[in-house]
Amino acid sequence: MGLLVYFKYANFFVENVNNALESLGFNELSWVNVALPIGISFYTFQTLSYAIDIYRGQAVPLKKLHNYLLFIMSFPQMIAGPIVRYNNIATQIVSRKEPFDEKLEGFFRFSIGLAKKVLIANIFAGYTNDVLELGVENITTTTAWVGILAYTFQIYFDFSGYSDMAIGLGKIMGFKFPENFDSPYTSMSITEFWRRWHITLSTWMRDYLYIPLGGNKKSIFLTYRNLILVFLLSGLWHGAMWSFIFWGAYHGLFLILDRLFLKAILAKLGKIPAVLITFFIVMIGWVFFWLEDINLGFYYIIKLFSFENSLTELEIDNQLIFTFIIAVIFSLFTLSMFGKKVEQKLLFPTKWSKGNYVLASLFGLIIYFYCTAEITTQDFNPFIYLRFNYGE
Amino acid sequence: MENRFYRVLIGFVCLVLLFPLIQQISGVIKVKPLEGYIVKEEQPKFSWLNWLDESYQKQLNRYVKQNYGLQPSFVRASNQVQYSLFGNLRARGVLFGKENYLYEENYIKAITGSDFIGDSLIADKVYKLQKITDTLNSLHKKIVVVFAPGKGSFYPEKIPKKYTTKSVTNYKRYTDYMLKNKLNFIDANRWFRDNKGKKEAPLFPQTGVHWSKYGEHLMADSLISYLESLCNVNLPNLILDSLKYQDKKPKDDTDIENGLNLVFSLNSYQTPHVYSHFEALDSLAPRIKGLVVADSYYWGMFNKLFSHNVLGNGQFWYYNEVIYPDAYKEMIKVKDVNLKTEVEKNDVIILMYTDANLPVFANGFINDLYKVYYQ
Repeated sequence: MGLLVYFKYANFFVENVNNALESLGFNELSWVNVALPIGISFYTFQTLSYAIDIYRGQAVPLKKLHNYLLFIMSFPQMIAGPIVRYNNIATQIVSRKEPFDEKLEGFFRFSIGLAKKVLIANIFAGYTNDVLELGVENITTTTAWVGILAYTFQIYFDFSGYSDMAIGLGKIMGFKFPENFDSPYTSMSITEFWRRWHITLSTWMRDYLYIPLGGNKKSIFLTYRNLILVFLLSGLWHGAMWSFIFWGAYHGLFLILDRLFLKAILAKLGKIPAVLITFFIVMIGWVFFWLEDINLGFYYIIKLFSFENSLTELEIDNQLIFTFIIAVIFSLFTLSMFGKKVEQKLLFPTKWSKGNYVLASLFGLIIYFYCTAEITTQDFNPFIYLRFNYGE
Repeated sequence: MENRFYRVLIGFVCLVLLFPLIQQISGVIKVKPLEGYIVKEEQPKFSWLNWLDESYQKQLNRYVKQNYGLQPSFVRASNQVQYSLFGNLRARGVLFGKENYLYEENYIKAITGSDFIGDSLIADKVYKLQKITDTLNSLHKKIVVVFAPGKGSFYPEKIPKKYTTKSVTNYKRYTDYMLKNKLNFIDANRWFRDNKGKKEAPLFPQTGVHWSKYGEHLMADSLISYLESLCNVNLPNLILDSLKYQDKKPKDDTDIENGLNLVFSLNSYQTPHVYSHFEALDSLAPRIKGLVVADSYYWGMFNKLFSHNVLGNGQFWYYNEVIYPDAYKEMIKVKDVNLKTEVEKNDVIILMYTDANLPVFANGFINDLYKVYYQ
């Protein structure tokens, strides 16, 4: 934990101390910025779970160093999750089966994740990057709305895509990694949202922080305190910036409001309104997550409701529209029973027929190669002819 | 039994996944290379220094993206999906006009006047050209300007609706000054527009950037006649043997389309293959030597051996930058030669540019030659 604090938060701490010193008229502290090791937030939590689960008697220590390294440095999920807790995977490290049918299922799952990332998230990323490059002050209200909608889907398909790829790769190697997303945008409240979004983080926080603090077993005041604390730390875990802390506090506040009255009201409104309102609340929160600057975040919120349409409007091309349609369908698909059944059959099969394995493999190959083509051609944009545009 | 089925299927999946690597090593399948102007990425040489500063990894990434097995096929498949589903084109500066007419954007800028460089720059250049013409005339040499037609000016009705036309363009201004100063000037742009739909074959292709092979043939023929009259000499005529419509259009007539690197051809009207030859002249007949300073519009004529047969093996200075045919053996650039000496080896200098390149008309040739004679 000390290493995480140092590498991830030392720069943030010193920057804020220096801001305070400067405002008081003192000299700043001199400091060389620390480089952030990739994935440190994820594998730190994994190593913590090893120590805590053994301490709690929930699992036995590994006898061999290479098994411990396998747990810590498992490459599919090491830098971007899902966060795998030791007690969930302890027996799999030392003895696991690697059935051939699960390897094929793993390949299929991997290809779905790859498609989510390359064919959906990356398209939205193109638009959101353009918004940032233009500058929030230069965009119209319409572009601001399209931008935050695009980011809302981008972050979901990007993150869940990585999780799918990690789970798929794990399955190929005989590991059953925990699910990390469960159609979070179908949630009817923020409480439900956090049971469906980044599930491994929220359960880690629940089991290693919230419950040891007392959870909801003590007074209402302490429950609310625990919720805010856990979500402030969740926000801070995401990044060493005030905007992430604010985002965490924002969600913590809505969890408290859920307990007070909000969840009951949303339940009375009915499924679709509750889903839409929750989606809206989450989307507004993403503004601060995306822009990484509190002041800019508030400015963006004002822009969303200012009906400013005389500035620069980014073009919305056919591919973006198509991707929005696909994203909405795939995000909300499991609102229906039919969607749930399809998801169950595709992602969590109890038993596929041989024909299904063939189809899944072919699908995986087509997706894999098409995504490879997209990744390698996204920068491919040649001139027809070499032209010399100088010498006037 | 079931296990065997899964093993076979996994084996098949692994083989397919590995196939690009197999192709890269063995080259077992002949793949048509991609078209367009593609900058080749070099394979980086490893050193600790370039590994630590990340330049090795970045360059290796770029190299692998360009050179993995079956890469052209992947690019074509991806481009085809982008075009078929979304109408996106992956070639810089290329766009669709109405009814699937392809343009490069700079040709549209030329006709809409959005690339207009201003009256004073044009006047200054024509003034210098006039002075150079006078000097060369005194040396019994001629300089001829040819304004080749542009796709935008030939098919203005097909450009996308969002582009609006201004009244002033580089082409109009230059033409006004050329005519006013009575310079040796061929307005092929005007001639092509005046003869649109009147000739036996299309003068411009639907999915190409330059004049059609047939249009180019007519231009070459007209240029020969003009030079004969200007230089008072008999030059080898270009004889049209036949026009043949084939399943595949002439490659040059679909250069924009080829540069899109799609899987399937676009629907477009037919243009014929042109079969022609230069007549042989009496070996003692006086010849002229000609230098051509031009953009890509001259390539077709150059490859048809126009410079060889009509211009006494004269050189082609591509965008006044690279010297052909010498550059085929060893890269030689205009800046490496003595401008005055080289120019004065010729009887005639032809400056051939399309309207889209008029913002950089002659690429510094006029300014440099003016400096040689007058500064």
